[in-house]
Amino acid sequence: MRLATRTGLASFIAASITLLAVGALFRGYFATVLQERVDTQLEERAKTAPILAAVAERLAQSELRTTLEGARVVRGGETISLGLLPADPLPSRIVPGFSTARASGDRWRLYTVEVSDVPNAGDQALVQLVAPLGDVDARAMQLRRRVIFVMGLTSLAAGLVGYLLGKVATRPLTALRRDTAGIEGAEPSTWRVGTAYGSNEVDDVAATLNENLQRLADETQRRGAALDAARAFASSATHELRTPLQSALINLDIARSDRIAEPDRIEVLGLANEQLQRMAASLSAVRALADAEFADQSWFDEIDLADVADAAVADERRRAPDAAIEIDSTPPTTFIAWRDGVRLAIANLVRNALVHGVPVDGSRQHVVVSVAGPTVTVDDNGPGVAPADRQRVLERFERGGGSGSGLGLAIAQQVAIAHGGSVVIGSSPLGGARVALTLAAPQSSSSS
Amino acid sequence: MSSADRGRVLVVEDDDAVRAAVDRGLGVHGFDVSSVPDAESAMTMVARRRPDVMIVDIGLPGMSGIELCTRLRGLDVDTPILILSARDQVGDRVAGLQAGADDYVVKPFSLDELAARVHALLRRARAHAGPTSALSAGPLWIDLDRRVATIGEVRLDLSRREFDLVAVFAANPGIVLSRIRLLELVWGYDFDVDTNVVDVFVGYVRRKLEAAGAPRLIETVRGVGFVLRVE
Repeated sequence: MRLATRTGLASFIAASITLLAVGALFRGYFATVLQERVDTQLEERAKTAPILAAVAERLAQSELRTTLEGARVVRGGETISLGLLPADPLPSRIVPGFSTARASGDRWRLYTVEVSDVPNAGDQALVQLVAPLGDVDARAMQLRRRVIFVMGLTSLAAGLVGYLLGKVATRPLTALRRDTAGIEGAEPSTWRVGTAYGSNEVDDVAATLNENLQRLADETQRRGAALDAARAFASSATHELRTPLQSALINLDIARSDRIAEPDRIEVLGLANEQLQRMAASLSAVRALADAEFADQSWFDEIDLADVADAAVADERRRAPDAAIEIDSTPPTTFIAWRDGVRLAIANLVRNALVHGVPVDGSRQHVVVSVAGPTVTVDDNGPGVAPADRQRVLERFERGGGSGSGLGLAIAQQVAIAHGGSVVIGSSPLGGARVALTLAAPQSSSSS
Repeated sequence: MSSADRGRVLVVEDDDAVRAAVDRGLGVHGFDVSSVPDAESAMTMVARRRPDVMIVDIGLPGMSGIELCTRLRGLDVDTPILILSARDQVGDRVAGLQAGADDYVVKPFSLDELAARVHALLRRARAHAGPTSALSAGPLWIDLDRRVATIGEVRLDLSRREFDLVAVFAANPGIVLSRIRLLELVWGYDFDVDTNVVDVFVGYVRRKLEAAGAPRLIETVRGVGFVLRVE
């Protein structure tokens, strides 16, 4: 039920109850007043009772008896009826005082007085004066009808006024409802209702609603963005895997053909193998990236960054025996960190330096890894990274022209983020690129 | 296979490994292959080498494969074009076919599949060089020499493969043609091939016929194929 309908109905009921009570009181008062007037008249007439008692017999025989006002006289055990009386008999028992009787469909008011020293009788008599109440009752009934009619109209009017007032009073709510309905299907960024509806309560509700809508919109947008990122990632990852798979498939098809020479067969099989390795590397990289993105706190423990960097560098030295890879460290280098992640990140930075940091003049490749506090800096003497590209190359699948997965730096960055740190690319004093991986600030002082 | 029969195939693919593999693979299958990494060099190669069939990757850097198709068709180059697309590039694939490509292959594909399609497209392209005439079926009128199709007074704007499809229907009015038969007649695929290219092209042709005021001339016969209805 609408609020305005409720207030209308409530007004109608309230008015009806009030008017019923007032009407009942008023009708009772009016009936009493009318009856009191009849009683007064009867008392007035009672002054003539001794005369009536005296002349009752004679009056009963005279022409006057029908024109007289109604009365009954009891004298010497006999009842004489005079004047206007109901056709049906009145109660036969006559006692002094006022009483009301019902006869011939109407009410009658009776007033009985005792009369002593009645002439010609010498004894006592009872005189009952009778007045019809039919007229009084008819007027009371008429009044009652009027009261009910007026009451009904007034209640209806009250109901209508209540409804209209309710409508006016609930206008802020109606406006809020309209605004709320307008949200459906709209852009989350526009999810907002008004702030001033002209009612403090409604404004409070609107403010709360706006807060919640804002939270919901933020959440929806965050989720949408996360979903978009996940889709883009899935699409890129699929592409990264599909491309080597495609070339491997074709190379294997070629190898199966009987139309090629043996040396060619060995060459294409080698290519297919290379491409499958590229796929395997991409798969590991995607896995590492996902791990870094959802790094679990339980993977973190106390590590010596210098030791981890040393181990990573040792691996890379084996892979690139021709390059000069140096490492130095400045304590403290003990931190709470994710050992495997940090090692992979450092390895990626060194490998990246080895792949992209090839000196243009053909001189020996030189890579320096420095561990200072929570920062690992990798310098090379290659061509460097142009300032405009320094942010882009950190992104996923941004491969700098090499044959890598395009995820190496992205993984390093994700590992840094998992520690609350970052990866920054700059220029190296060696002439090439400087990539600085910073983990969070030290969490424990240097031990041992 | 004599060298005169060797079809000239131009491969446009940006990934070095895939391009090299396709180049080598089609070479093994006896085609005279040249390959380029982008659409711009493809335009130059088309002018210089006049390839018989083109294999175009849809996701090229710079000018896309779709744009390349549009440009070539705009220049009245009607060399059959086979699009290479990934499974998740459905929209691009449809755009490519609408831009005038003849067929598509979904990556990853096998070399044999690719070679079979290239062979078929080559055969088709050569078959069209023979003597031809005019055809009519119902409101359709087809001039095979001038490669013009009209409905009433309206000239249909059809791509090469769409024209071939309409011509096959017009040559076989009232006859139900299966998808396999249509692949054979229009694309020259006389081997088992997993593609819905027939349905895609029937869809395009229907839309163009409807736009020209001939609704539902080509009906689907469920479980069998398609038929050109003429009273």
